[in-house]
Amino acid sequence: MMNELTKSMRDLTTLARNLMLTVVVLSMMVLSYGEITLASGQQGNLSPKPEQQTVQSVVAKQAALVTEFEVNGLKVLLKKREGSLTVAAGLFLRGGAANTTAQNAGIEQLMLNASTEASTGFPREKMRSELSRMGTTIGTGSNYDYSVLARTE
Amino acid sequence: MKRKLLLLSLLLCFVLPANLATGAPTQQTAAKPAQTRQTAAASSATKIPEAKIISQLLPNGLEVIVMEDHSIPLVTIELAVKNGSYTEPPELNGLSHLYEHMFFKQNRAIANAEEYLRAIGQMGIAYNGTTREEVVEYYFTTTSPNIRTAMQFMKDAARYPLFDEREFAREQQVVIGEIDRNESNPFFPLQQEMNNRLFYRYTSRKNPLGNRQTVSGATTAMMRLIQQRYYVPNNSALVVTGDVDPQEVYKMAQEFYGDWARREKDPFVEFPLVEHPPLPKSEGAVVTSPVQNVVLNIGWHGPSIGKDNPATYAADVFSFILRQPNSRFQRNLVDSGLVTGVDLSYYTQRNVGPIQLLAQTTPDKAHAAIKAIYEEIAHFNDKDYYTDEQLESAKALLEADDLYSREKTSDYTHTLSFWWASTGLEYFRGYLPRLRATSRADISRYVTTYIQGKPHVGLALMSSDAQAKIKVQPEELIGQ
Repeated sequence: MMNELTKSMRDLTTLARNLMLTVVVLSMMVLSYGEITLASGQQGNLSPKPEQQTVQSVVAKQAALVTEFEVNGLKVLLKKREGSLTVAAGLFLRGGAANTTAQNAGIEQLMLNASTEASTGFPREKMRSELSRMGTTIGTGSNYDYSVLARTE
Repeated sequence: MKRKLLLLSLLLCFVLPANLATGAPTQQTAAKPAQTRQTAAASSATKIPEAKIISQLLPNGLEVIVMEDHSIPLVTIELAVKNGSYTEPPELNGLSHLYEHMFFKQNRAIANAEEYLRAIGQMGIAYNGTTREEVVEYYFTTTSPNIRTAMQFMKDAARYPLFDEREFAREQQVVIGEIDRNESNPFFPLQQEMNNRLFYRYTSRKNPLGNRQTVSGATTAMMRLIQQRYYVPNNSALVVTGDVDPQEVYKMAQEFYGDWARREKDPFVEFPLVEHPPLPKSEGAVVTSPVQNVVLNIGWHGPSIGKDNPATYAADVFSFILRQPNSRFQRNLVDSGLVTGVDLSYYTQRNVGPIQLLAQTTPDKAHAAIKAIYEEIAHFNDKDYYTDEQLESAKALLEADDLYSREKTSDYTHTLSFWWASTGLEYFRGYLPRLRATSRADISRYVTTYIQGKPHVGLALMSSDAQAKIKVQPEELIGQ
């Protein structure tokens, strides 16, 4: 079981490393948006009220903000939110409780928790200080059909 | 701080129900302005703009606060009232909360509650109310075209309640059921014991939930008493956020609330807040409840808004220093294996905000954990207790916390109400700059003024079996 666990954690680390690449791109884009919004906000006293939006137009507008691509086989969904200065990233893994048995129930959550403690690229001390410095936290969660490793920055 | 509620809830999330500290929301959707958050945002290198909040006072004293966010066509209209347990003498304890339950009932415009709720539901309006120690909030969240309708709903509910006797009797039972649910939580006795010991002279003023006696003995006349005292424009704020134009909001506010008669005498002048006396001495106690682990809880009287604002900023920064996993506090207590989680938090309040340390451990480690916690407290003021980097990271984390909380405008509305009621908007506007300016000297003053060597309450929650086995002593719980 430990070997499997170690292997799973290695796989997870690889996926997470791939994800980090996309997060960097994402953060730059969103921060740029934030600056633009701020700049325009400084020009006038009050933003003009936008055109009346219909439910359909809102859905279409939100959908247009989502792009989809792959990195090394990892599906990436990227959604921009205008004006937002935060970045959130979640690595979703099919599995969850559906993937475990009575004998190893809970092991996925244990693996995810362990993976947030340290990695080969980020020893424990470094990971902790970097997360604090950036105002970032990493959370994990296990569901019936999937698990998630998420960070917000 | 308030997230301060959050902060406390970082640990409370695994020991206490989220609604215990807040008096519990009552209606459909769960309003959790202080909901637990495990994530924060923003690099310290990024200059974070403060939230753009505009406010205007109507001639009758109603403060209208607007925050625009046009990212999606939703608006939240919230009425915040300076009411809650801090206004409650023992005989009225829990009645701000009962009043909150009556808010979405019959009023002059709506013949019965069912019709009222149906009308709200048909428009997809989410609504709720929350009662805390120093504020009661009511909100409607809806799509922006419905803003006038929601504003009308709010006006009728706030100004013209009918307090129908049958609805009132029904709601008394609903609130008693809420008390039952809270008391069913094994951690409830811990929080109650802490409140009762910390605020021993005026316990009702820190207990928004109230008790069965006051709730079952309440009358509609008491509801009208609360209405006359507190539900007046010069004791309220209208907070509107989302896809709105501030000028239109002001016009609507004037139209719907402009003729709401102000109260001649400020309710807090006529019915002043009590002065919670300081603890004469430290005291410890074991609280037994059917739990498996041991929860340690140490409480102090913290600073009050209006009396020592600088200490409130230092309190927040210090809490965030200790919360960092690399802090000496976390290393010595969590990494050592003595506790599974520990947190020091300050809850911003106008009338004595409590400072609380919460830790969870196992019965076999309880004695060692208590000793280690007091050893840490003794070193809080040491020069090398935290690094300059940890100090700066704490500020970055606090700013990120604020930034992240703005992501969901409807929730941020509750945050604005909280600040307005307990600190005033000016405190809120200056919050981030003052955090940035917080120095080691400020933190040192906070620690020596409120924590080290100060009378406090030390409690341990565990099962009676565990206590019979490990025999934790009251003196031990106060560090003696």
